[in-house]
Amino acid sequence: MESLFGKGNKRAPLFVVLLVVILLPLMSDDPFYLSLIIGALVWSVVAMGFSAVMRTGSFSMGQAAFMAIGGYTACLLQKNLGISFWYGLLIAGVIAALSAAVIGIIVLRLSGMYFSIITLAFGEAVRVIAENWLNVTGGMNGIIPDPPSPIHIGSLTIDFVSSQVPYYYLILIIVIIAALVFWRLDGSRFGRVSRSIATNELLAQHTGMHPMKYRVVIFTIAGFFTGVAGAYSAFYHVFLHPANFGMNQSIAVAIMAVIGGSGSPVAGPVIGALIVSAVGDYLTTLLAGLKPLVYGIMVVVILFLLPNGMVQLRDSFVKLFRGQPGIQQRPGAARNTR
Amino acid sequence: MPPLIVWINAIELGSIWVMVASGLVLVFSIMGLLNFAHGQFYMLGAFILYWVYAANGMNYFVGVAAAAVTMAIIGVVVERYLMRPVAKKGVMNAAILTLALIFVFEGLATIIFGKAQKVVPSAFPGILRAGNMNISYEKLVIIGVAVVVMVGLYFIILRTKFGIAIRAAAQDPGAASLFGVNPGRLASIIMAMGCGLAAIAGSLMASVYYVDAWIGGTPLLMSILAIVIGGLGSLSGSVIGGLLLGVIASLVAYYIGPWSELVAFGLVIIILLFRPLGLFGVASA
Amino acid sequence: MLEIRGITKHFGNLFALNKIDLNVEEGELLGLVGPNGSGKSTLFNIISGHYHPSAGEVRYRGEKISGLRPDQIARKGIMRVFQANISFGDVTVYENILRGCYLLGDANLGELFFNTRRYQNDERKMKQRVEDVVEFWNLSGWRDNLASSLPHGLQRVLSLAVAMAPYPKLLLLDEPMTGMHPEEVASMSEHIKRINQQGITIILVEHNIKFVLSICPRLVVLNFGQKLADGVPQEVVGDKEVITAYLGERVA
Repeated sequence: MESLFGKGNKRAPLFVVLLVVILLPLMSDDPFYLSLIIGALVWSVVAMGFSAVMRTGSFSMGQAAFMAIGGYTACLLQKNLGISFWYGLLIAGVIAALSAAVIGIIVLRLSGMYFSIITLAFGEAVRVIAENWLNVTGGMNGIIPDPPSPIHIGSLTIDFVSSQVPYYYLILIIVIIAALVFWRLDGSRFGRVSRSIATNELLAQHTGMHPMKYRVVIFTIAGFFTGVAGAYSAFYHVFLHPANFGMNQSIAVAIMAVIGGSGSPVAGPVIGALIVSAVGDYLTTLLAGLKPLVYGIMVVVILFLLPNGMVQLRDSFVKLFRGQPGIQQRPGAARNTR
Repeated sequence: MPPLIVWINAIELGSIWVMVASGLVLVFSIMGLLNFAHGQFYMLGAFILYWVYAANGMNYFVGVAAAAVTMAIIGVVVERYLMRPVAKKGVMNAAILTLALIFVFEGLATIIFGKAQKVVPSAFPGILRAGNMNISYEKLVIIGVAVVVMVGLYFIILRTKFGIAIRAAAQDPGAASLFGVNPGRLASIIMAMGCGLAAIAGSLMASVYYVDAWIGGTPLLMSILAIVIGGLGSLSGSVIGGLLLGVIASLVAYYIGPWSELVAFGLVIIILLFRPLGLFGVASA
Repeated sequence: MLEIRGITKHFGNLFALNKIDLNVEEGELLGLVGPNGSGKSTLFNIISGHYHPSAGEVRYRGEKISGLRPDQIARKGIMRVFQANISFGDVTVYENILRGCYLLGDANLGELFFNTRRYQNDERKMKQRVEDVVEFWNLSGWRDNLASSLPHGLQRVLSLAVAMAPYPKLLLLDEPMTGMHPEEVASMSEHIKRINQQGITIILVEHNIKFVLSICPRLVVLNFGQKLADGVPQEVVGDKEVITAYLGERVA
């Protein structure tokens, strides 16, 4: 089995990364940086979902809608039914997954461009509903959920009020689970079929593959994790507002996945999310108007320099590390077989 | 039967959407992808009108023309030097590029003009009294300009050799050269037309609401919905789609209020389910 | 094996196929010929499930298949090789054939996810099959090359190899020889004969009449969506309607 960050004897970097990741909260006292990372991790989950769906040939421009569905589900369950965040998180994922399944079955049969447009419209539709269904969602006032109930392990109590560190480890666990799922799917026959139906659906069908099945399944799985991310986000920010999960966010997710690297199930979305979130949050501190400008220019530059996404850098770096020059091919040989 | 004024509003709104949607479908047919930054050309067109007419006191129609020409030029630059090279690496990359351009233009507009909303005084104050109805001159001007522009557009598309080349290229990009038209130049000209249309629409609407860096979002969404209703490759489809959306928005606003967008989305989804290519869709090249 | 009853297909007012009746016996090598536009590819499209017939039905081993999806029909053992070079151009020859082995897998999605024994067996089986296929078609030298980089003749071979990978019982070959040199034609025709001798039923559409006459024991001629002739080559070639169709009124 290939590991996430390179083959065989390059597991060492992977362990180093894991170590850094686990010890991260201890490295800095400033909560700002931790919140940056947490934000990026939330988006990386959503970006992984988008990326997986993208690799079947469908660009869903409305993923933020599933975050909203997840967020409102979890918050409303807590507010109206007293259901704890911990159950709410899972139920949010399930409800989002079900919505994705329903939408997917109806809409995934449409060709790529139409699918993108419908999902864009769907995203906006959810936002409009959230803004106007005052009785349920509170409209533009939003919802303020109570913090997640503390976890008791023996004599140890982990509470989610005094520090964001528990939040960090929680999202880390979610990210790792999502990463394992998407990475497993992509590296298996599922990934092979996804790429087949994306490249040449006609041939894939005649080879015995059923495109709709695969598209709906991955869209549903992506929906699940996106819903979970949305629920988490609502509780982490202690505020759920329709504008949090609108077209801008859906677009940002698409940008993350593509500039991170569309061919990569985990590393690409994570890197893309890190860059976009980090840069985005950092830029907010600058002069108004400069943020979108710099952000937009940065994306344009990346598209020009790294058409295969940031993972190109990783691949080059890995090859360099092993002593091979950049990305070159032996005459007559092909690129990596997946 | 809703009062006539609702229908007039529908035509006013519809004509704006028609122009924006036609611009978008022109660009789509030549580039094979949706220019998500299309709404920004609308927004910048509005700003240019603001600058020419409200800030510098020049003639209103000069402002509209300036908006059209400036955005046409910017559109060509974007198409030639940004979209074309990136599109070579993949359609998805080009689509993301247009998304990134949304932010670039938004940022530029904020830096140049500031965050505050700008108000453009109406160039045609006054109301026409027809029977028991009051119609503002402003609405009439908007509808009038839109009609002139669309008739001009149709004339170009249907009657000139150039227009035939456009239609051929929409089906098959290589076909342009059959008409002795350089495909690259054709693409640039179509982009100029598309962006110009959006800019005209934006400049006309500048005095109706307000102008700020974020007014491009709704026209983008509406034009996308319009061309989807009409069928992605079809110009007449986008006209029908735009008018239809204008009617819906107006009727829904009259009866229900803030849910007009939702109704529009719902309609789009329903239409696509029964006619997956839109009402007049053509299978893409 | 294959019963085609009253198949009609129209697109608006254009009738591509008009009440076609045809029986194909198990193990046959049937040639399907006709001028351009006669409906040969349309008939293939209907058999393979890409189109649904406007009227009539197709039965395979007694079971009705017209109206099924292409992937369902492929699963029954009917594989199609397209007229144009259709492959997964951006991946290697090896990967193309591996994808072609999709139908050899038994494991479902759950087993796939948890990497169960059955899934691993599937993968092993498929990879072995790819090796065999690469060997059989002499593609070893091109194994790691991108499919799109193959010369034209080899791309046709690849399409055929991919179609043969999942052990089909009925093969629909749509103009396999297009654009091939004489040596490639000879080699391909050997392969086709050998496949047929293994018991695989083949319906062959080909423009190269000489070739079809030489290897197919039975011919069916189509023109304007209708069946003109059906029989052994000598009969068919002498048939007046056939000659008219190909060469025009006056020559007949």
